[in-house]
Amino acid sequence: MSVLDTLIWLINFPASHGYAMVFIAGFSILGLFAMSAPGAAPGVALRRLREREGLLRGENAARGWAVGTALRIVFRILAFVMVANLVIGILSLTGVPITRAYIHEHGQPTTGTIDGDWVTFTTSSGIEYTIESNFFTPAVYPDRDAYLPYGEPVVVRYLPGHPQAFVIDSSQGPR
Amino acid sequence: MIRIVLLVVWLLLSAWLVIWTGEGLFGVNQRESILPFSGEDTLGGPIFIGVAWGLLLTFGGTMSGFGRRRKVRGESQIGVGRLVEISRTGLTVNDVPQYDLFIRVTPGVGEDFVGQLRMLVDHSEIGALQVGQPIPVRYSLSDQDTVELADITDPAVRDAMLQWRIERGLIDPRLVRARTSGTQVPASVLEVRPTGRRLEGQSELALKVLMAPEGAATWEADTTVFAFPEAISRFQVGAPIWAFYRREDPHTVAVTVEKEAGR
Repeated sequence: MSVLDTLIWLINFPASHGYAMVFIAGFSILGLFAMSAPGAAPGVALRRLREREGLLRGENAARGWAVGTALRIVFRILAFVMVANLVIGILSLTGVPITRAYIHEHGQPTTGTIDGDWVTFTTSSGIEYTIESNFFTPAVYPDRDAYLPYGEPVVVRYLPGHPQAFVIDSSQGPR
Repeated sequence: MIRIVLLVVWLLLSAWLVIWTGEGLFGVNQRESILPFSGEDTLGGPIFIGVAWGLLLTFGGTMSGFGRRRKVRGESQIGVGRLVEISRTGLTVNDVPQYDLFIRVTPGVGEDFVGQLRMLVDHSEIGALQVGQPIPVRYSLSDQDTVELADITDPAVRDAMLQWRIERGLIDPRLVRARTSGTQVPASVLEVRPTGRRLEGQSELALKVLMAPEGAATWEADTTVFAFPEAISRFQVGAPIWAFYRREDPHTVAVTVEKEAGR
């Protein structure tokens, strides 16, 4: 379980949920950046003035300040994560195999079956995984648009440490 | 209230999305989900909930900053504040810019505090607002962030201002009775001389005034008054002012610049 595997597994989440991710990120980025802007919290100016006038009192105020700053940092991180999600989602929707190629190359092969949008496969440790591969962002590589009949066994390649990151190997599947 | 409801809804949606992400990353059989609204159709749920989450965040979060309270909550009291800072918010309505006025209020009881007053101020009027200027405000001791402008023509506000001046000693105790219950007559300043005393940013002037009730004989009286620096010019020699006296003691006189309605 290398660091790169973990990274690919994380990136594979927005990539495989590209359609939903584009909507979520698209509608929330503005809000996240607005929430993380330095002057976003109401009362910043008021606070500064109270400080200047020497009327700021209590540790209560200081704690509120710390919470506000922490929230802003969280929102700022989330904002950048969402931007990354948007980019990954769009790339994935348009057919760029951001994570698929890596998974295909480093993945462990096994057989699986397709039932609608769901792919079921059993890893070498004996756990059966059922994971989505939907129409908009199919986890199929190298030929994204390959025809895969339901019921027939297909070759699945998954990352050993994180089987949730998988691709269906279209170069070896039944034709 | 509505903000709390929105916050709760937003937190629920956030929790849904966090669990959704967690299931997507760690789930073994991802067909089964503990979440509501995530049936066989795996796209609708996350999209609707994600969009709702984003919109609430955008319009509930930042808009609550813009739409901050204007009204004073709780029992409001009338007091006198001093303008501490003026800053533009950047918003204009019909070319009238909006300003944040920060006002330091000295309540009757308790410590001073700085409150905010957001209002539109016309270009021609902004010159009249100067840092240090006293402003009658409505404030609440429970919510000190917001103050409201009090209408100075309101008799209750006038009384409160007068009471505030009396409490601060800005009206000589000997003159209080004349000021509050005396007869109001026109008067003119004959002599003016500062006493050197200062209180609450106001300077005391010793005046000799000519009392001139309509259709009656005039007389002269000595008095003192505290005035803001910008109002001192109103007490120059010859200036028309208004004076109060009680019939039984016409030589104890309190003065003011503007005529008081209903006296």
